Amino acid sequence: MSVNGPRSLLAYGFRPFFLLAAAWAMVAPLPWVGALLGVGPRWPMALPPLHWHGHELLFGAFTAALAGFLLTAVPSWTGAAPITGRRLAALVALWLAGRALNLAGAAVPPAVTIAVDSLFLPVLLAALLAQRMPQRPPRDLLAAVAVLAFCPLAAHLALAEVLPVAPDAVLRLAAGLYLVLIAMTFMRILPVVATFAQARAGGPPYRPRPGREALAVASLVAFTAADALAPVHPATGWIALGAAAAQLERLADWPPPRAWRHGPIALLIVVQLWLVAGLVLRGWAGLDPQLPAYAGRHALLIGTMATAVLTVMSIAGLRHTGRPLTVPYAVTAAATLLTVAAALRTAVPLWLPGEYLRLGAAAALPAWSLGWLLWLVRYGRWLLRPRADSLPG
Amino acid sequence: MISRRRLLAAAAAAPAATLMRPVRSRSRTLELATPPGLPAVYLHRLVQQDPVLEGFRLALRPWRNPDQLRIWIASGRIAAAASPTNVTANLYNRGVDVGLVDVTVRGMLHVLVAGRSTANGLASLRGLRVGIPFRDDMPDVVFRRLLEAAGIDPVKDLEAVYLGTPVEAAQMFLARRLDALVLPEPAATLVRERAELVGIPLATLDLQAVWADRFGGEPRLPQAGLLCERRLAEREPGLVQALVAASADAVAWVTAHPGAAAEAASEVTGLPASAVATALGRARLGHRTARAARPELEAFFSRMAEMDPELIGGTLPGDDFYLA
Repeated sequence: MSVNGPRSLLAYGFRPFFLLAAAWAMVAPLPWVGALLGVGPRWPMALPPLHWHGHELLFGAFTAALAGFLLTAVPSWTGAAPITGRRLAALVALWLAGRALNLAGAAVPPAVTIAVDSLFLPVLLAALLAQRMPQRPPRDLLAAVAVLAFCPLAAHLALAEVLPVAPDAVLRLAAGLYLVLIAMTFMRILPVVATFAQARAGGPPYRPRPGREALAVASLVAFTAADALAPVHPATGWIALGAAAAQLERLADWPPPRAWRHGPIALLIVVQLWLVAGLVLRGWAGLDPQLPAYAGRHALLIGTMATAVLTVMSIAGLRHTGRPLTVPYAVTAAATLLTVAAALRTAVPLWLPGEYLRLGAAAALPAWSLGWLLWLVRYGRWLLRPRADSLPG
Repeated sequence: MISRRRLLAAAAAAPAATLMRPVRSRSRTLELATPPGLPAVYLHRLVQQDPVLEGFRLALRPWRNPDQLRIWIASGRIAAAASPTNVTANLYNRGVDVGLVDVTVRGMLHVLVAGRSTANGLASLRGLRVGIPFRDDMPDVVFRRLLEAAGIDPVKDLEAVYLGTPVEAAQMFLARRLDALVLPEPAATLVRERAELVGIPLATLDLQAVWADRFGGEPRLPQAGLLCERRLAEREPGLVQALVAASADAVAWVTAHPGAAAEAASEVTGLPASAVATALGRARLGHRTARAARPELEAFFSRMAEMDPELIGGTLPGDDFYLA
């Protein structure tokens, strides 16, 4: 007997958290863009609006996607029992509480907001590590998540001037860690996706080159550290350009264009190209004082990270709901809309600054939100229903 | 069946009726042209408190840039308007049949400097990219005159970037492609609020205070007031006096009730009422008749003319420029 609704929703970690990630990504920029354009209601939030929009993108939407991914991938890779049912519901409730307090938290004691919002990632990590893992856990991924787990607390404490660091630096560190996590995740996903695409295109099997892959990840670790410490220093600029070259070189091993229409490989390539573009702009900003310090930031946050989140959620959503690895049209459309949003947020402030609010913010928002809405409409039913192949999970 | 007599009577009445209609409507409506900023707030109040003055029904007509206003006035489409005082003087000196009724805006120009908590005079702008909306409009003229007086070359010592509208200027500033921005209120307040949202620390330079430091006197500049067609003023002296009294009342009420005034005028300004209310607190509104303000107007015009006499149309306006 198949059961729709709450029981299916709590049958595996990706189900609730992928839904929440897309839903929160869709609506989270609204208060920020509304305030920027001077439209819509304003209310006192727990965080300053600029910080809030970065915080909620990273520690709200992307963290929900990360949680869904880890709660699904770690059991799949290690043979550990998945966290489901009430324990999963408790994690969902903790994530929701953090969002609610940050959104309306000016009326709540700051200590409560900070404590609740900062708990989610450490609790998630502890819950994962508490499971018995028959096979070797992905230590590199979990180590990066362990560092990331302290970032929400550090961001709050930096804002409260308890930690003697700039709040922006913590957000930059978290964003860099997400890039590293994406690169690590692609190391695991790419063999599956590339082999599928090459097989369909009749090409030779995909052969990963661990040296290039490791260099790509290591260069991102170096960029993350440099960007957190000195975002506009020339040294950071050169490190960013070096990291861009490493990502571009990684692309050389990926399937050729004739295989791109098979499966989700094209989505991974879009993510990788945004990563290269973002790093080049970060490098340029470090070397050319005429370019604003934020150059490339949205290419990395929206172009790379949001498209990567969409891609990973789409692939994992297909595989773990028992569906073939065929990208739905809605995902292609959603990724296209995210690319439009990323292009507007990246290019307009740099090359059409006189249209910053109209094109860079007002026009980018509908593209962004509609992209996530399309994904929700397509995947929502699948995530709320049992697997198509009737297997558990 | 229509008789020949009725047909002739109707034929005679029709042109007479068409002649009567425009005369009646033209003689009974006075459109006050206004920019969508602070003058719109007090003029909106004026129209609300006195919808009919001396038999003229008042209405507001927003203008978007000074060139539009010049065309309206030169072509006779508008008989009264809130206008920068140098624009009124320039039109008068070029033979356009206008004069000045009063001065109401006496200081609303600021320079916003990004990335600083304090700005130490105009010298702190050296080497920066400074955005200015509308070349040769009041903010540009005042700013350039002050630069000249401070010995700062607007081409060599800083990079002046002229932009089409305050909105475009604001967007470039928020995108951090400008280091500083010359703006009148309430645009300056709107940019200040947005800059806070996007995390740009700001310092504000009050150009009225800089002017007073450089040229002496109070930190006030007679920047804008009501112009009126002189023919209309001569034909309807009672109307001009009534406009002066209503304008003084409206300015006093707006100054005393900035929140309510901004809220009420939001349909004309199209701007958030909270920002307009804040801007009213930062600007210097105050009513003086044109004749009472003549000494400060002539001092102001003279300083402009020292830089370029064409800014006021070549010479100081004559006695008949001052209508009240």
